[in-house]
This record gives sequence, C-alpha cells and structure tokens, in this order.
Amino acid sequence: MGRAKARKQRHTAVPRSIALQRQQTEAALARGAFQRARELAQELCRQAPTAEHRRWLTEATLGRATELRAAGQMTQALAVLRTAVDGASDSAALLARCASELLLGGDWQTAQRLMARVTDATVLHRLHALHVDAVVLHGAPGLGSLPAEVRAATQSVLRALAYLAQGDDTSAHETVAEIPSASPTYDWKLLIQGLTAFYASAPAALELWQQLTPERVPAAIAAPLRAQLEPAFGASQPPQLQAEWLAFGQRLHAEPWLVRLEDSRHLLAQEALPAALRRAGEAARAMPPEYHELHQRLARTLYWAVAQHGDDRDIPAYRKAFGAPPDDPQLHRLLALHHEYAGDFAAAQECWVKYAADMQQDGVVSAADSALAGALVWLHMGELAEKAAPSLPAELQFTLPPELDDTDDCPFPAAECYQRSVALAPQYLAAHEHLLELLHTTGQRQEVVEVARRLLEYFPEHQRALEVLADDAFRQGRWDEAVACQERAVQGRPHDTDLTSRLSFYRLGLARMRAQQGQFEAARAILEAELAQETASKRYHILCRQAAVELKAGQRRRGEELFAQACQTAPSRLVAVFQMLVEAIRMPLESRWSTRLEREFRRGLKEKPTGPNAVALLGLLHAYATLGISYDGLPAHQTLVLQYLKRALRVPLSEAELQRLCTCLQAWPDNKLLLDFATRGAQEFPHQPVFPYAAARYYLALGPERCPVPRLQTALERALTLARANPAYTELADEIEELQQVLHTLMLLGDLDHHMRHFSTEDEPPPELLGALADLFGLSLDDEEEDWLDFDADEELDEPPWSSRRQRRGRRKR
Amino acid sequence: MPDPYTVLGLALDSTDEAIRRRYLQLVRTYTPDRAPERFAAIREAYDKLRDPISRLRYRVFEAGKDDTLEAILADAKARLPRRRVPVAELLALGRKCV
Repeated sequence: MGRAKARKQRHTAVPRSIALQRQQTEAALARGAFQRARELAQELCRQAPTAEHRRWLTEATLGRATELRAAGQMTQALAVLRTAVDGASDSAALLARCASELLLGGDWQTAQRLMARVTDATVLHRLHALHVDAVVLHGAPGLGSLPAEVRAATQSVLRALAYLAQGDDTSAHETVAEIPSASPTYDWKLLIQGLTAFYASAPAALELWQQLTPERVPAAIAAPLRAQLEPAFGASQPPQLQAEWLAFGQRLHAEPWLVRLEDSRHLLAQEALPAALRRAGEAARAMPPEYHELHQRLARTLYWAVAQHGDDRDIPAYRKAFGAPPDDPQLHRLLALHHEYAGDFAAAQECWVKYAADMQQDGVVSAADSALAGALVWLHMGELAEKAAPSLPAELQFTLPPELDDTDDCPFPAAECYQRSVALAPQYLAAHEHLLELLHTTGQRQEVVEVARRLLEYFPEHQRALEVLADDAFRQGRWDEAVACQERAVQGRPHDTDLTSRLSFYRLGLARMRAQQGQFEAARAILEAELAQETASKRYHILCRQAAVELKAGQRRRGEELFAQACQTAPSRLVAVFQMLVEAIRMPLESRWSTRLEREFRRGLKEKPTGPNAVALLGLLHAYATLGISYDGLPAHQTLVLQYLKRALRVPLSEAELQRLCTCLQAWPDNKLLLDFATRGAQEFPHQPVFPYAAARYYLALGPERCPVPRLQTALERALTLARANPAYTELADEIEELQQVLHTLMLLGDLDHHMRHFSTEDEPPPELLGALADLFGLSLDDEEEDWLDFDADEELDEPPWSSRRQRRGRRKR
Repeated sequence: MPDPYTVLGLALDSTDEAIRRRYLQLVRTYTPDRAPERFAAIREAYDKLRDPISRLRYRVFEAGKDDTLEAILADAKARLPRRRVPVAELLALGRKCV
C-alpha cells in the first residue's frame, strides 16, 4: 500500500495535461496494466468526469478485479469491484461484466443490485445462468441468493457433487435425473451424468458433454476430460491449453506402461525410431497379461514402422524389444519389406525367397494354406521384378540401347516368378492373369497361348484367355475356333465394342472360308446377319464380301449387282474397288476379276487425292496391319496407297481427317509420312495433342541410333500438356506419361551404365549423368529443344542420341 | 484401421463360417444408424477376411500395417479404469477457467 501511495504522489507531483493523461490511460488499458490504468482513470475522472473517463475507470477496475480473483485474492477483488459499482457506467456490457465478477466473487447482494439495472433479456439470462454456476462453485452459502424456482435444482446439483466426491456415482446420477432441459442447472446435470459415464468408460460421456454450453462453467470443467475422448476437440485448442490437458490426461491413466507407450508415440512422431522401439519394448514388457492382444498389436505396429522407416540396425533392436513374431520367425519378411521400402527390389526378392522357405518349414501357415501362401509370395516377387525392370511393350523394345538389353537385376525375372506362382496354386487366378499380361505385353505370342490354355483349364470362361485363343486361331486360319472362342468371350461382356467388332471380323472370315469350301448358303447366312447389324456407312465392305461370295458361286449378275450397291454406299468408288480387289485376291476369284479391279484401282489412285479417300484407303491398310492380315500384293498396294497419301499432303484436309491419318500411320511409325502429317496437323491445329504425339512415335521408331532425343522429349511434353488440358484425351495423357517414365528410366540407366564403365578413370560425375538426372526430374537444360518439328529424318546422325546429347552438353560446358 | 481380426474379435485360425457368423452378429448390434463408424470398421474388416485368398494375402503381406500407436493407446485407455478426479479439483478448474 505504501508503494502505491508513493507512486500516486510521484505521478501527481507534476501536473500533466488532460490529453497526455488520456493517452497514458488508453495505453495502459491496451497493454493490460489495469492498476496503473485505474489510477490514471481516477485522476481523469476527478479533473474531467466525462462518460468516457467513467467508462475507462470501470474497465480498469474490472480488469484489476479479474486479476486479483485469478490470483486467489477474492476479498481484495471484491473491495476493488465495489468501488466501481456506484460509479459504474450504464453500458450494458460493462454492467454485465461487473455483475459477473461480483457473482464469481460471491457478493450476491451487490451483484443482484447491478443485475436489476440490466435491461437486455439475453444478457440477463446469461447472468442468471452464471449466478447458478457461481453458487455451485461457492457451495451452500449462496443458495439463498437464488430465485426460489432454481434453488431446489441447484441444491440437487450440490448433493450430486457430494455423492460424486464419495464415489457414489449411481446416487449422483439419480439425484440430477429430474432436472429439465430448460433449467439453468441443466448444464450441471450434463456434467455430472457425463462424469459418471466417464468413470464407467461408457460412450455416453462424450455425447453428454458435447451438449454443454461453451461459455458456462460445466463446459470449462468437462473440457480437459472431453479432450481425452475427442482428440479433435483437444487439437482445436491453443497449444498451451493442449499441453495442460495432456498432463491432466496422463494423471487419469498413470500406469507406467501407458506412460511409456505415450512416450513411444511421441518419439515415433519425431522419427526417433530406435528410442521409440526401446520405450515400446519397455511398455510391452510391463503390460499386464490381460492386455496380451494390445501387446501383439504394439509389436506389429512397430514391425511396420521398422519396415517402412527403419535402417539395418533397427531390425536387431526390434528383435530385442519384441522378439520375432510367430508369422515371421526369422524376420526374413521384415527384412524383405525393409528392402522393398528402400527400393532395393533385388535384395527384397532374396529375402522373400527365404521367407517362403520359412513358411514351409516353421508352419507359419496351415498345411492347407501353404501352397497358396507360397504362390502369393512368388506373385509378389514377380511384381517386384517388374518394378525393378519394367517390361517394355513389344513395339518399344527396339528403343533399348544395345548395352541395356538385359536390365533385369532381380535374381528372379517376373515371368519366372509368375510361373512358379501358377505352379504352386493353379487355382489362384491372379497369378495366371499376371503371367498372361506380362507375356502379352512383351509380345511372346506362343507362350501367351499356352498360358491362356492352362488358365482356361481352371477358369473355363475367362474372357481374356478366350480372346487370346480366338486371336491365335484367327492367325492360324482356324476361323471356326476363332468365332467360337470370341463368342464365349463376348458373353462375359456383351457391350464391349472391341470384343463385338472382333467377333464380327472373325465371322466375316468364316463366311469366306465357307464360300471357299463351297458352302455358299452358310456363307450367305453369316454375311446377311452381319449386314443387318452394320451401320449404313460401313455396309459397303460387307456388300463387297457378298459380291465375292456370289461371284465365287457363279452368280455373276447377283455379284455385280452387289458390287454396284457397294460402290454406291462406299465413301467413293475407289474405296469400294480396293475392298473388292482384296476380296477377289483373298477368295480367290477368277483372275480376270482381280486384273480388272487392280487396273481400276491403280487408275483411281492416279487421280487427284481427296481427304475421305485417303482416310478410307489408309483405314483398310491399317486394319490389315493391326490384325496381321496378309495377301498376295499387299506390299505393292501399301506402297501405292502411301504414294497417294504423299500427294494428299498438298490437298485440304479437315482436323478429323488429319487426326485419323496420323493415328493410322502409326502402324508404320518409321515412315516419314507420319512426321509430315503430324507437322502439318500441329501447324494447322496447334491445340490437338494427337499431332505432337504422332511425331514422338515417329522419333521413337527411328530406334536408339537415330532417335533425336531432345525433339522426342519436347514433342511428348507438348502432347502431354495439350492432352491434360482436354478431358477427352485423359487416356492419351496417361499413355504419354507412362511412355515418358519408361524413356526417362532407360536414359538414366544408359547414362549410369556409361558412367560406371568409366568410373575408374573419372573423378567427377560426367556432365551427361547430371543431364540425365535433370531430364529425369524435368529440368530443361537444352535451349534448342523447342524445335521438335524442324527435323529431317535423312540428316546424318552418326552418334546414337545418347552420345549426341553428351556432345551438345559438352559444347555448352566449354 | 486396426487388425480386422481384432475388430471382429476373432482368432487367426477362424473358419469362413465362424467369420461370417461373427460378422452378422456384430452388424446386428452395431447398426449403421446407431454406430455408423463402428459399422464401417466392421464392414471393412469383414471385406478383408471374407475370402480365403484375401484373408491369406492380408496375413502374409499386411497384418497390422494400418494399425497405429494412437489407436492402441486409445483402446488401452478405454479399457483401463480411470482415476477419479476429486470434485474439489474439478470445481477449482471451473473457478480458474471462467
């Protein structure tokens, strides 16, 4: 008190201007120095008792009283508050705050005097609720100050709290059971019943506490307990409060093993795996036997933590903490998983082999499951081998640099793993399917057929296997079998247009075979049925086939009628003539027919090219190439059509026609025409991704010795950007991305291989390796890469593209 | 997700029939409207165990992979009897927080 007087004298000794005092008061209030603000506001009120100065004084007094109450100096707090009551500003908010402080301090009479001045119903309702809260906090002495209608309910709350203190939860729960939801004591009922549920580990606790009014005292009491049940609620609080509640929660469960488990969780979150393992091991050892199941879960969780984030030293540490789990007695699986997560698939395979042996020897799985478990492991190893060395599609295999023909560094190649998996459990479909797709992707046709036959022994209606067999039968000219297999495949997916159009194609081939065998009625029936299903614009090719059948049967007039109909429905006579010519050769018809048609075809090709003719003629050749069809004279026809296309480069072509031509020309990707049409398409329709993609396919087809890698990369990037911008090209975008990945991997492997061969003679990584890494991570180092269209396929490329890149980067370095 | 055997309360060597019976029993108790989260967990666990191949694949490659220390701690706390907080302490907490 002496110090306060001295300070007062010091401050009042020198007269100050009102303006300066106002400034100082505001500053003190703003920084929460309420005692100083109060002194200054009192001085201001003495000199100039304005409404604002009174408001400041009330605010400062309230702030000071709250400080004193928080410090436990309740008497002083009330003394300070009472000085503010009479001169309190008429502001509803300040009156309410003042009344609240008085209620919390237990000065019921003064508080009620102030509450009488509050006119706002909402504020008054809140004050009545706070009155109840304050009475409960102070206990029985305050009961008399409450209105009669809430007194009994508040008394029940106090009784229930007393029961709780004695541990009689049932009586506590029942004592407040009758309190209605409209009562200001309802929140206390929720708190008490929530507490009884909490101690009984019942889920009702959280439901009850979630209903509490946030600004009421019961909500403040329940909050740290609620945070134990509802982590999201705890996480939404300020960090300091979270820490306090965490400590509170630990006191609720003070079992030493639980504390260690909590420590382990923290250590794991901080990526301190060895320490986390130690603490978890201590927790596991101290865990009571009735928590055996939690012990197992803990061991498994740490097992995965070691597999995913550990290093070699953590595996012995894991064994020391938990021992080997029954399903991995030698920890070979843990080591395998650890290698997998580290990307070392070869080492992972070796460990999986050991684990497969453990499963057999140590009875990890029952004898009945043993073969299937082995099949699963071998299948998984096959997937690892594919990850280590992606299987290139047959059409891309020639892009491999010669020194990288064998990049598979896994001890067991994917095909062998899948074969072993099939051998162990032939009833396991996934192994068959993996093997089938792998062999299909890599173009091993004969092996695919064998696998498909074996698959059908176990899964007779497997659609993919049936398709493979149908394709094989077609290639061998066994049309009956092709149709039968494809019909079974279509039954599984009747709306798949790829399947149904293939079936239609096989049936047309069967019709030709029937005609060749002299079974003309059967051939006619098949062709009639196909004609009925075909769209009008494509009927001409069936009409040509019908004409060929009739001519073969000696029905010349009918044959010519049908051919005339075909010419009328085809995009042009030239197209119908070409289709008829092919049928005349393949049937075969009398040579005068093919000679006449050949002459007319060649004459037609000499006329001025048109877009629709170019598209239709190339479409037919593309279909033959895709399906693997050949006939006498096909190479000559191909040459003639490609010459026709070369002339078509100079005529107007629509976007759709250019797009179709580029797509079909990819059947002959190394033909310069593909690049020419792609270039023209890209210039006329720069938004279209198909054109840069077609150019990329051309560059790729040049093979590792001639491929201009920078142009290829730029074309692919351009195509990807355009495809990603247009939702209609999502599939193309995915295809391009896949291709880019394979190429990046190959280039990196190529450069690494080169680097390793010369490692002993070079001290620093060569710039080309850095370049390859830049390529892999998408960093463009070449300035001249944008001119992907400006390429002459005939230019001399003495060095393979990998060398070219090295030379260019070498130049730039110099 | 915790171990599906734990979610369903089953032993590792449970048969198809035992798994199915236990699943039906649990979904009758924890219906989607009364306990939607528990119901979803039961469904997910059953999906992993219903087919002998996926069950074996789970045991060989995934057992315990999705469990977390947080979940283990929560389960441990739910099973342990809680220490009672003295009423006076709770009220003091109320006084401090308002």
